Amino acid sequence: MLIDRTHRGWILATGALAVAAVALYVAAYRATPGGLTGGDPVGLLYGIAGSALMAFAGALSLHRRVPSWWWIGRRQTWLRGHVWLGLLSGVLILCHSAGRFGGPLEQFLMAVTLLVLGTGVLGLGLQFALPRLMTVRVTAEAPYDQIPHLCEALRRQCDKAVAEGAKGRLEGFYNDEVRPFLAARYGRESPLAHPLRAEALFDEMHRLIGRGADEPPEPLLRLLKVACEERRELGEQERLQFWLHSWLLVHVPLSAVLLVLGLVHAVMSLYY
Amino acid sequence: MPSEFRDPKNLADWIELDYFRRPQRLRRLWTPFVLVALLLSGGYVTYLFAAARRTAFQARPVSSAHAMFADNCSECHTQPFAPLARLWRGADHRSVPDEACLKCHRGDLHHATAVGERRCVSCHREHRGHAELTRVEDRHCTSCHADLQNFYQPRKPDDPPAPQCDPHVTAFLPGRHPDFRKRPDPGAIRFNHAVHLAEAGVLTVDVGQIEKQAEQAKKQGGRLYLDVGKGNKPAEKLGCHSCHQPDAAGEYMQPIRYEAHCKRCHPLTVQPIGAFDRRQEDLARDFAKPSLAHPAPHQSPDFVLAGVRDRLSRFIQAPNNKEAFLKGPPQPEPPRPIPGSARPAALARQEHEWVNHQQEEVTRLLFDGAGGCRYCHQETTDPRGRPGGVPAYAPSKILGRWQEHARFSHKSHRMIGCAECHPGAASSQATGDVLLPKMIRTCMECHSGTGGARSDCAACHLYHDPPARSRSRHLDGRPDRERRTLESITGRVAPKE
Repeated sequence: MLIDRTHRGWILATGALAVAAVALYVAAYRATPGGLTGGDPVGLLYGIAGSALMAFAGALSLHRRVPSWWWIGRRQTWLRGHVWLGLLSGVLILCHSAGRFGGPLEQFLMAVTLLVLGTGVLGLGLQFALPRLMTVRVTAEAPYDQIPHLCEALRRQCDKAVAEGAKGRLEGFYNDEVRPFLAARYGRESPLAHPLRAEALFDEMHRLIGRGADEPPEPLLRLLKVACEERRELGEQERLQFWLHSWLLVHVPLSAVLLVLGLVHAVMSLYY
Repeated sequence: MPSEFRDPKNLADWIELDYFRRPQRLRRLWTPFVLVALLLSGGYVTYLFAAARRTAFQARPVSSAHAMFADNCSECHTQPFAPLARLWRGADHRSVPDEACLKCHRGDLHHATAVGERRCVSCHREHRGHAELTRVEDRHCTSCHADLQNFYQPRKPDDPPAPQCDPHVTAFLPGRHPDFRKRPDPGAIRFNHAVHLAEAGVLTVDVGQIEKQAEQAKKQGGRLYLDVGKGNKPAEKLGCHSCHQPDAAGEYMQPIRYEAHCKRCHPLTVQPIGAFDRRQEDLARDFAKPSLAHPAPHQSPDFVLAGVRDRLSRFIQAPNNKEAFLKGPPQPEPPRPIPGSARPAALARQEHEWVNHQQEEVTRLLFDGAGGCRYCHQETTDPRGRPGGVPAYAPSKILGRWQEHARFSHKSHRMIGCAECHPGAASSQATGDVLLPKMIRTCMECHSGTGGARSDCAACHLYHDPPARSRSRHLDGRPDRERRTLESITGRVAPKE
């Protein structure tokens, strides 16, 4: 998700709400001898508001499960609400805690809250930067989940071409270097994974199969070189897309823990 | 941009067209990751509750003073928590009622009419770590004392008058806190600090007092047998600590007592008065020896008279004394002692008359002479018309504690010389001189709020009424049977040895 000018309204509204919430809390804190705690009326209100915003942020994952509920709004809107109201919930929860992290359960909960907010901000940054980087580095983007399938297809095509026309050194070069490199699992340790070393390797092969430096390359060798370049780009796309989505493997489980423990905290606090 | 292998026309050869119907590669990991995270956190929380029991619910540990309660929450939390009820009942709606605190603590109020309904937990917030509960924030005080007139509303005719204190106190800073209130010294003891603290020291027996006693004895036709010229004159340099000794806690000074602090230099000399021959003089000198345990008891005049009469009676009943002072053979009374007990012998008529005469002389020496009781005490009766012939003296009223709404620890200030805070002591000559620091700036030199010594209100001031005005029962006054057992407090049974 790009943070562009369409987010301006959300940013301004969230910023204004955060400033107002902090200002109100500081005013109430200064007016209360001994300061406020999470159990004071003001602290409780901030806790309830922060928990409600967290629940809203957590409801994003449920939005996709009810696509027929068009009246609850577009997913894009929910995603923006998830980002900005989720950040606002952090401000409210910090006010609710009054800078004290309480007992063991509350300390654990606060650590999870900060981790969720941290991974969320990290993910937002990655989603802002990595797509631009991918546009520059990957000329022919493929669906991320289809990359293994693409690699297999690429290898099958090269297998067929080599079986039809290659012999001698070229066949050996294909079987030893190129074919393993085209596998679904990207071999970063292969010399073909590095553009300059791959170029040097193909030039060497061009010379070994008896072609002069001025002669055009053997068509099969050129096909293998292009296949390797394509695999390299797919490998790069795979790496960037892994970072683009892998933060969710931390963010989502921690968010689930946060919601469950937050519920435990609320129940225990209201009971005791 | 299409690659050399892939372009939109042959996309179906390269891409599985139904791939989007299957779960995405990374998203497939979400469920196991979420389950593992929930299991781990659930395990941690379960362990937490199992290991820490109820303390897992605590915001922070209780203060050190309440550590004995451990996890026996119901010792203080005797009412339902109902935290949501605070939203409409206010922050003071807590599960710890005042009664829970008053079980152990004295709960004297502080101008109840002024501050209205205040609960213990309004100021003393628990579960904030091992901090002192008595160390409340200044704003609890300045919320009223910054503008005190608006907070004192006597409700009943017998309510106390408005407190005589500065109505605008906002902090312990110059201009925001008043100086010490000028309070007259109520003491009724004639005392000269300058004489006692003289650089040259003081004599171990007050010659001035002895001379006045001798003068009075001479007026009465006798002479003083107390010999101050033999070994009683060495000078001794006194310091503040010679008389002012801290109590066991090191906070306040112990009361000045005649026996401990005055008697050595100011003996209450009594002696037979009269024109005696050499042998009688020797006996009279023995009577007046200051080394005797109680030359005259330092008690009320009635007690003094009784004590002196007892001594004179015993003195005259000694065989040698009878012969010397009564000039006649003793009239022995047939002894009829009760078996197992000694019975004092009754005075003979002559002895009785001698004792009466000497008591009159001694009374004049003690009560009328300038070196007697009035050397230090102020008589409140007219010397010409004393009721029953016995004078009355004003109570000493030597204050041990000058600021009853504040506390002070001399022990905490032991690194400072006495004269730093009591600069006028060495030159004070009048009894009425108040030797407290005149300006509170003396305190502010250290208690400045910039680190080091505390400068919050609770560092010096007491919120609750001082013990002298206590309206409720103090725990210390309870009989042992009303006190509690450790088991009832902690809820744990002590192991049997």
